[in-house]
Amino acid sequence: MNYKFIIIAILSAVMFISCSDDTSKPNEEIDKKFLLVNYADNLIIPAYSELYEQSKVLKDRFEELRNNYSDSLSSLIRVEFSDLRITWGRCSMFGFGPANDIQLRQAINTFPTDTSLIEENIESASYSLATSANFKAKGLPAIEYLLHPSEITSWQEYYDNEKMLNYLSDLIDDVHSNISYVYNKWPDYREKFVKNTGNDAGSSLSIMINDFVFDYEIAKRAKIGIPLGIYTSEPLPYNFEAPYSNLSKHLLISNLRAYKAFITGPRQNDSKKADNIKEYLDALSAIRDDSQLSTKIVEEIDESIDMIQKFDGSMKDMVQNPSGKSEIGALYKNMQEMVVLIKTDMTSAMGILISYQDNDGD
Amino acid sequence: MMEIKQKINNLLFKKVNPEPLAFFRIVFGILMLFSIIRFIAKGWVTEFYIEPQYFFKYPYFHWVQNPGEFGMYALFAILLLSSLFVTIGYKYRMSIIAFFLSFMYVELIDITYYLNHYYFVSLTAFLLIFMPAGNCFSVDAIKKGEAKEIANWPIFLIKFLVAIVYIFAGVAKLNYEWMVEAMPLAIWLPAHNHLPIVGKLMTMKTTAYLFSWFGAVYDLFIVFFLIYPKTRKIAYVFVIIFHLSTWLLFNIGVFPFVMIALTTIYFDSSFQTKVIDKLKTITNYNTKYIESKNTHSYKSNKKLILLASILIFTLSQIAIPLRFLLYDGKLFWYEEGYRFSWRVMLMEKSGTAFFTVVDKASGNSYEVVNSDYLTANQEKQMETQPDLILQFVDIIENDFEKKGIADVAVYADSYVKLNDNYSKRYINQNIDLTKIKYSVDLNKWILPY
Repeated sequence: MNYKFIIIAILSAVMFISCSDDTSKPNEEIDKKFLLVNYADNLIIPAYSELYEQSKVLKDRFEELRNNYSDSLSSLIRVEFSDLRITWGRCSMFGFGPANDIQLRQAINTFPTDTSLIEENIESASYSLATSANFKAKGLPAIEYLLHPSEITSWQEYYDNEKMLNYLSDLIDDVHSNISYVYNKWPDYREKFVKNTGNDAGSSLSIMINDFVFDYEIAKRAKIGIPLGIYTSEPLPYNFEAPYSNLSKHLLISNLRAYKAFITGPRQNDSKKADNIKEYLDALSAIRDDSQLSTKIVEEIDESIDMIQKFDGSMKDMVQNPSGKSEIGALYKNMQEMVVLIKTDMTSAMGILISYQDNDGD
Repeated sequence: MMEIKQKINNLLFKKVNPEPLAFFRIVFGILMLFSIIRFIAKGWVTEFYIEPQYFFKYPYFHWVQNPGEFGMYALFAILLLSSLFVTIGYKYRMSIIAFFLSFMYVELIDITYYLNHYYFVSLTAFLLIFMPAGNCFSVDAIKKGEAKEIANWPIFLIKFLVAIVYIFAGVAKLNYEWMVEAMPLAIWLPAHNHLPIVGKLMTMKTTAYLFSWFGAVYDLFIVFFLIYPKTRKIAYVFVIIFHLSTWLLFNIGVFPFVMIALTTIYFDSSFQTKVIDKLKTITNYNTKYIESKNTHSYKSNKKLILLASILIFTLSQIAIPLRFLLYDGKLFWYEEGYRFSWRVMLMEKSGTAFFTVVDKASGNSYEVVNSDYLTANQEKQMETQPDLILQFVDIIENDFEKKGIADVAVYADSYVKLNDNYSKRYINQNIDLTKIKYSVDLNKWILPY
């Protein structure tokens, strides 16, 4: 038997089959290193540095206010604070690396905030914000509570409470120092991040995608699911992210926009290489015959944003009446559909294991 | 008829050198010792067996209970010691029995960690219990004397088992997805675009086709090339190349090394004899031989039992991987008859599942947070496997009963993605899963692919 003939026959069969549908070849080359560099330099580090600047501005303004009260400064502080929170919504998905060292998400955005613990701490004036027991009495939600009191006669009078001011000042310092830690560590971490190009459980792409999915699931659960009563069967209006400033809708929209920006990526550096998740997915899914997965993901996010923009009034009020509740319920469902796309379709297409847990495969 | 009988007799009971089996025992022991140490060092004992609150059970082995933290580490201590003793051949029979039982115990605690290579290790350890592997170049043999020769059936059975692994792995690849669509390799290989030099090749579809076809041909025929003396050397080079590349590309632990080491069973026995002789010289090993007629001349009734056992084992090893033929529906979707069949790295399957509990008394509904109950590994396995989904429904039901909500219905909103398809709804979302038993037809609650 002429085995050479058999080998040639098999090889040509392989070539024939594999070439038969190469017409839809990806036009952009996938290169993880390229993508990681782009995300680190043009998305993650800029987001954290803006967060750092914002937290510093808030800290400085607050010190000014303590030294020299003015009504305009008092309202400016609330604006600066809202900006800080919106910026946080662009950073929360990057909870790996330095942010993971100090559990930044829990440290600065645990909600609902525990108002009675806050009052207790203010009263006793003895507390340690470093303990995890105080996670629910500090961070952005606690600052929000103190910056948005429900019944006040005048702001000047409100800000005349030394104990409260001390606590608020400690909270702002704490947020700033946590953010500073992450901001200062990122330049070093960046070198590690862009080098770790593998695709095992600990590789940068895997960590970044897993954190994105994780953060999205948290947003879905904590920002909508829990206040909607999905897990308790009773709505919990004060469990929205920002119930005192009525900023919940606004924060969620900017959060969703940040997720979208994560998929579509920071500015394009190179037209030959896939340097963002969308292009990366498009290049990989060239073998699909249906519509692009990346397009579906972006559409799904846009749909959620659209739904929130159509909400009438605050979510805190909506959830307490049947029609509003069902509108938020529809948003929850939409956000749930997105979980399937990013957790199953996206990670599977990228060949990424969805879990940090290391394990042998078959 | 006589001729066949004689051939079988010759195949199983002809006298052969004891060194190949001893060599196999030593290699197996070292590999096990290494992988147990690796398992402990990675912190997996705690992560897989102590931290989880719940464990997914094997069919027919629901009664296997987690022995707790102390018990788990005791089991791993036994595994460590027994694999060391198997390697040096100290109280061989007792050691291999201890190894087999503790290995099985650990495996049977949670089906989440089922791997074909653990199954292979279990089968090999089981066979080794009955084999005279401890009577050559061993501590036992120093005391009791060295065997001059053994019967051939142990060598035959090991060769048979390795052949089953490869050939069924090859047959499993002969499906449309693997051969015509190059799935799942067309998904897995591009993820390696970061590799130097070959990174670019990994993103090409032709590479996925070449790997798929080469993999199928390799699995189907490698055993025959290993058996045939003239091709053996080059075939073994292929064994090394194949398994090292799977080791480099995929997260498959020690399995590549297990196969590279254990396929040496196909070598001409002069190889192992030479190696063992060398080792004997190096270690100053010295013992006297036992008269061969006392070692392995079987009485006729013992021979009959042995023959019947070998027949049952070999036939069952052929039947078990084929049992999927009894079930309807797409195998990759329903996974009936998927495990224990050497389907290795055969599909890319992942899922997302949300469960909602309805309190029938009040009508209140509660969505479940899966991670409140399961670890990431458990959740990942559960989301795509029907039997685990039902076990999870049981876990949820019991937990709600503990909370005082006794009469519940559980519904799943679940999606599964297979190979390069989009994720599809997996479970009929209108069916109360507390009413479903796994014995009920899967197509009553799992939607068609």
